[in-house]
This record gives sequence, structure tokens and C-alpha cells, in this order.
Amino acid sequence: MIALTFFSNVYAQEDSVKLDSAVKTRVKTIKLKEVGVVEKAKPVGRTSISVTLSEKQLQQTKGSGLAETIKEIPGVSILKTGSTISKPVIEGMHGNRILILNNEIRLEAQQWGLEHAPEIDPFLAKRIHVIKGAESVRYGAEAIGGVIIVEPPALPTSGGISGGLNLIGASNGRSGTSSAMLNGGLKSLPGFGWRMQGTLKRSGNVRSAEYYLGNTGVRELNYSAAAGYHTEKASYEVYYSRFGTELGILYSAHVGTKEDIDARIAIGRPLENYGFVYNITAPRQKVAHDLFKAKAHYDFSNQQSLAITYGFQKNQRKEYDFRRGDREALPITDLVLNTHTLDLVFEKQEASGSKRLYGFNGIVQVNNNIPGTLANTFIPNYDGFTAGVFVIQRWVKNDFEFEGGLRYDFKLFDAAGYRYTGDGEQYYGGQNRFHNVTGSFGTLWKIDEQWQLGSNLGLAWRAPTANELFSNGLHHGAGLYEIGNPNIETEQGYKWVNALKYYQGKLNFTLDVYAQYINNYIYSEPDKTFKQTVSGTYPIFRYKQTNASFFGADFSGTYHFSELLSYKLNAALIRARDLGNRKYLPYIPSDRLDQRIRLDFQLENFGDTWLQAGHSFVRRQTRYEAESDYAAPPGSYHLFQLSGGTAMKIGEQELSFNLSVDNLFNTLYKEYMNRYRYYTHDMGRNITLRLAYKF
Amino acid sequence: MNKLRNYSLVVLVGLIAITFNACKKDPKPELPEEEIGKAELTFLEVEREAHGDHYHYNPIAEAKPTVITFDSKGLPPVGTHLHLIEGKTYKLTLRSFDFANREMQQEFLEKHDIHQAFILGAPDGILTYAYADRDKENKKINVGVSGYLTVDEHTETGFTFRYVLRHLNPGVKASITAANWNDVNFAAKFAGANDLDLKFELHPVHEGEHEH
Repeated sequence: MIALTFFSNVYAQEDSVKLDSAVKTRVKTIKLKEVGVVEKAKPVGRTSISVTLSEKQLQQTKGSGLAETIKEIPGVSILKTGSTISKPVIEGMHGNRILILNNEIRLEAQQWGLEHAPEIDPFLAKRIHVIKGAESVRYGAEAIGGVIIVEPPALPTSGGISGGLNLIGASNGRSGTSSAMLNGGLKSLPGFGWRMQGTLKRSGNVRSAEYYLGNTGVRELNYSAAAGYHTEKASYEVYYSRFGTELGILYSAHVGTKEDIDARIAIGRPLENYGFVYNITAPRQKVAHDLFKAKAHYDFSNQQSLAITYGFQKNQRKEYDFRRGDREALPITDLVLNTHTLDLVFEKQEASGSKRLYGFNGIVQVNNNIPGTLANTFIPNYDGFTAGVFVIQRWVKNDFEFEGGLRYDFKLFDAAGYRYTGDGEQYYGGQNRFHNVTGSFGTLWKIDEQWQLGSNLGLAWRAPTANELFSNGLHHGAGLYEIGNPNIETEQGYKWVNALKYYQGKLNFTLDVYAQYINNYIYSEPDKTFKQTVSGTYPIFRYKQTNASFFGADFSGTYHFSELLSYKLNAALIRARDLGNRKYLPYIPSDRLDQRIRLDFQLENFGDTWLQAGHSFVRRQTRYEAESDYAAPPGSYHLFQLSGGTAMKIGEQELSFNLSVDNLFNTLYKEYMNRYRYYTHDMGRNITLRLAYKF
Repeated sequence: MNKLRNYSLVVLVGLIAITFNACKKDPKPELPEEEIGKAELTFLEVEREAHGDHYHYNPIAEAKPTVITFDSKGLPPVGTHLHLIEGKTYKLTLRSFDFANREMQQEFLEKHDIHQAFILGAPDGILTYAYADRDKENKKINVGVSGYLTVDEHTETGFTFRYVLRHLNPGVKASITAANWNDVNFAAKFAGANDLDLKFELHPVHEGEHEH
């Protein structure tokens, strides 16, 4: 039975295996108390190399942003801009090199910015899947490094009301988060279901081990509503969500010229003392992301089905900086990005388990700078049109599964902007056209009851982004002058990732090994010239292309000494090279290792209870280029963590508690993947209490 | 249910039509008011009169101002070389202009809690500077839009005189005093960015020394 469970979920992490086993068939109705739910198929192909975070696992990190939530997956790390902005990194790739699907719609925001965090509320998710392969064929451009799939719970299909409430308090930043979800259906209309959900979060200045980080408060208000109707042969769903955040940017990281940067780095910590406040002032960001989705799914006879999904997203980003006069109330960057997506997938299933998918994806994008910033626009206005068609074939044999796919994409990018220079207005922009053919091949070999081997070879691509093509200006607060290159070509990544899985009951592990070659890898680096202005001189960074290679391995293993006691080890390492210039690439995560020992037991009158002690070790990044960074990477560090939780049943309702202490010994440390490491240390001790109530 | 199916198809076709309707990008030129266009530093000789622990500065009727102009790159005209005379005091005033050539140094005075100028480049003991700004209530403030520069000693050769007007991060100004006017570690100690960084060659000389 254990082996069966395992095989049905070969690519889920072992903790989520039991949960996923409920979803063996493509569609299956399970009864959850009074509320019927049509459980969706797992949105990840079986030949994909992926890891799933289950509802239970997500519960233990609730209250964090998306990137922080998934960072416990080996091979996933985060790129931070201070304590308020985190971007997920999959095997060394982030931003426009990974794809995030929020309820099946690809997140389209200003994700090119290193200081632009994904606009997703993790409270929406029932499960989060991370695909490590370059699966552009199925998911479209930009899936070079991988795909993050945020999967909300399925909608109810019968009468009754259920829901949940989460309350979270954390000591560092004195943050409070509350999130509620309500699901229901109508007895008089079987098949109909609805859901409402909302999250409110507030936190103030975060503290490193020794001092407060000025202006690191966050305010967040997110909500969503969904309704669906299922019949025997069809299902319809509409969904709306809003993510709204306002976050402060560390005062001490605001620098002007190279002279400022060097001076601040020499000290390495702020000299100013900022106490605790919730208040957020400039520099700050205010971001709102609206998502509307409508989906129809039809099942025809002969095992054929058609899914039509339309999505509309409106991303509004306002960035406020220190400005002269009374202009601090005016955003220095004010962008609205509207994205329409249309996905059509026709699926034909065969009795043998084989199936074929035909698909079309269309994207129409309009980016506009909202006038009135009284500042030069950093990226131009643009229209983008993308169309892609694909076919995927899956074959199933006794011990093998194969999946092969082919895709063609076309993108038209039409940009126009004005830039004010000393000589007056200057028009810039133009049309770029990009064509691309991508392919993928995946296989899964069930060697025996204990061993499995999966392999996935994918070619993914992305078109250059607006800033890579056209930026030309001072990056306010960062002390650098960025210049784009309108002749940049598309970037193509070939990724080969293999997963070896072993499950024997007491011992189970997964080893992912990957190799990636990226053709026309786009990056920016200082060109050793300076921009002279009346406020000083700034280093000029230019966008360039090279070829790059990434090799790495992620390991995750658990050993159960007994039913009570288990030990888990996660480790990840990456080796990346700029092949064109025979150099190292910047912002590649250093080697890291996490281990934890865990006690699982039952307490009288309580449900599942656990206690856990963890240790993380992060090595110093020694693979860097001195001349393309302001300072050498910080030293290695150790962090310790303690956590525990229990649950109790009150009739049909469940109340669970969970307490965690991160950075237990209040260690003063810096992380290489934090862009503000030059100016401050990372977060000190943080005690978090989570209460969850389900009914 | 067939009806619903048909309706949903109509809705989807409509949505597709909207999706593929061309959208408009319509860029509008944005005038970057943030950029400071040009700046001027004026040196006007005054008489310094000791009054116990402080000085009074009296105008000299026949004194002629010397104006150094800086372009949008912060550079003076090529070959700018100013002689100031040992033992004399000059009123140093800043005028700065925005992108549309409007004077804007008043902004620095209005936001005196986040602005302060530093006078740098001189070897030790050559110059003394005193802030001479006033706020709306005529209270003394240290900004450096106006101040008095006294030449204590001459130098053998000229040096690069540097006027840095700092836009300070919140709370930083409280830690700066008038005595920090020539603090070479200003970038490290007083976090912020520069609004102006003006440089030219200054040569304090003996009275009667000739141009070279």
C-alpha cells in the first residue's frame, strides 16, 4: 500500500503523498463533511520533475509571502531586496526566467524588476507545486528555470457552508495577519459552489539581531471571490482576486553616487537609529494586482475534452522615492500593465492512459506610464502580442511513461516612449518581432517498488523585457544608471533535469540533478564608464548577452527512526558560469543545507502533535567576480529554528496551534542573495504564533 | 443545460474578441522636474567683525561678486580657476535652477530638516565656513544655501573645491552640527544622496599675488 501511494505521486514530496493519493483518477468526488467537492486533477504532468507543498506543509509557514513559503523546497531560494521584498529563485533563475501560475493564469506583472515581488497571496493556495524543468511547451515563454503553480482549493458542488480562519502574530516587525475563507453551495442547485477569501496583514519595522531596520513596514489587503457550476459534461468557473500591498524600502539602502555606496559598505550597517514604527514613508511601493478569470471545460464523448480559459490582469505599480520639494507624494514610477490571456486546450485521452493535448495561448499586453510623475519614465509604454500553439503527446507503458511536446510562439513587441535629456525630448522605441520553436521530452521509469527515475529535457525561451531593451536612466535609490539594448535577441534555455527517488518506508529520498545551457543569456554589468550629472557621478550598467551554463543538484531525504522520531536533510548546490566571458554569474545562491529532527505524537484530547528542531547552514559564495560587485559576498552562517504544533477537535470543527522561533539565537548575519546586504544585516529572532480554525 | 453551454460560448467568443482588439499605447512626454538643471555659486567679499564668541559679517559697498556657473553635468566652464585672498571673508551663495530654468534653492531652505551642504576639498586649516541660512521665522538653520567662507591661509597650488548639497535620509540631520561643514566622511556618516555636487579649482592666495 505504501508503495502504491508512492507510485501514484512519484513527484510529490513524501509529506504530501498521503494527501495526494485522494486524487488518483482525473476527476473524483470526495465528501468533505457536508460539502461535496470536485477535486481537480493535479496540475502537474507525471513526467514533470516537481515538488508539491501540501496544505499541511503550507500551514506551518502561513503568514509569509510566496517566496518565503516555498523556500523550504530544496533548489528553491529567494532573492531579497531588504526584508520587505522577496522573489522566488528556482535553481538559480528568477524574475522573467520563471513562470508563476496563479489559479491557472500566468502572473503578468512588472516581474523584470529585482525589487518587484510576485503579487500573490499564499493564503489562496491549497497546494503549491514547483516544477523544476524548462516546461515552456505546456506553460509558455519564460519557464526557463521552472514554474510555480499556486493551486486554490476546488469549489464545493453541494449545499452547506464551510470555512476557516487563520490568525498569525509574529514578534519581529510585530506583525499581525488574519485570513478567512468561506465556501458554500446551494442545496437547490447541485453543482453550484462559491468561495470568498480575504487576508489582512500589517507589520512594522523589522529588527536585525542588533538594530531596527528603518522603514521596513508592510501593509497588505487581499481578497478573492469565486463561483463555479459543474454538470456531468461541463464545468464553468469565474474568479476574481485582488492583491494590494504597500511596503517600505529600507532608508539606509537609499544611496546616491558610487561614493555613497562605498562609504556605506565600509560600515556595513546603518549608523542611524530608527525605532519601531508601523508607519511607512518614502521610499515605498504601492502595488495593486487584479485578476479576473473565466473558465469553461467541456467533456465530449470519446474521452475528449476542451478547456477555454480567459484571464484579465491589471497590475498597478506606484513607486515613491525621496524627492525634492513636495514631490514625495508623487510616484516616481507609475505603471499600469493590462494583460489579457486566452488559453485553449483540447485533450484526447486513450484507454491505455496515453493522451494528446493540442493547445493555443494568446497574450495581449498593454503597458502604460501614467503621466504626472514629473520624472523620466524608466521603461516605455508598449503593446505586446504573443501567440503560441503546442501539441503534447503522452504514452504510458507498464514501467514507463513518456511525454513529448512541440511548440511555436510568435511575439510582437511595440514600444514607444519619451525621454527628457539636456537637449529636450527624445522619442525612443520601435517594433521587435520574436519567433521561437520549443520542445520538451520527459520520461518516468518505475524501476522497482523502491526506485524511480524521472528525466525531463526542455527547451524554453523568453523575449527580452522592456527594461532590457529600452531602459535608460538613473535607477533611483540604487545608485546606478541603466542602459538597455534594443538589439537584444531572445534568450533560449536548454534544461535537463533528472530525479531519482527512493522509498523504502523508513528511508526515502529524492535527488534532482540538472544541467542547463542558456543561449543569449541577458544580463547587465558595469561598463566601467560613469554618468556625470549635477548630483554626482553614477556607474553605468549596460545590458548584454552571453552564453551561460548552470549545473546543480538538490537533495531531500527523510529517515524515520521510529513512528515518533524522524530526521530530514535538504541540500542544494549550483555551479553557474558565464561561458562567453569565462566568468562567474552574479546572484547565484551559495551551497546550503537544512536539517531537522522531528517528533510526531498524539496527545490526549489533542490531534497530531509535533515538535521540531532545525538547523540551516549557508556557505559563503566564493564564486563571484570582484569587479562586477560592490563588495565581496558575506561570510557563511548557521541559523537554528524550533517549532511545534498541535490540533484539537471541537465537534466537527478543528482548532490548531503552531509556534515557531526562527533565528533562535538571534544571530547577526548577512545573506548573499539579499541585495541590501551591503547596508544591513538580515532579520533577527522571530517568534510566530499561528492559530487556525476550520469548520 | 445546453442553453448554458451556448451562452457560455457566446460570452467566451465575446471575451476573445475583446482580447484581440488592438489596444493603444500613447506615450506622453514627461518633464523630469526632479532633475536640477544648472547651478551657480557666488563669492562676494564681506567684512568679518569679531563679537565675543561669534562674528558679524558686514557688507562692503564696493565689493564685486564672482559667479561660477555649473552646467547640468555639474561642470564649470573649462579652465575655471578662482583666486580668493588670504585673510578675507566671502559670502558664498547658491542659486540652483530646475529643468525649466526656475530658481529653486528656496526648496532646500523650506526642507531644511533634510538638506545640508558640505564644503570639501581644502587642505586642513585653509578655510573656515559658517552657515548663514534662516528659516521662515528667521531662525538660524544650517543648510548652506548661504554662508560665509573665510580664507585663513593661502596654498602653493590650487585644489578642487567641492560643494556637496546633501539630501539626507529621515532622521539623519539631527546628528549633524555646524562643525561638520567639512566632514570628509559625510557620505558614510550622513546617509542620503546628493542633490548637487559642484566642483571647480580654487586657489587661496596672498593679497596682491598675480593670476597664473
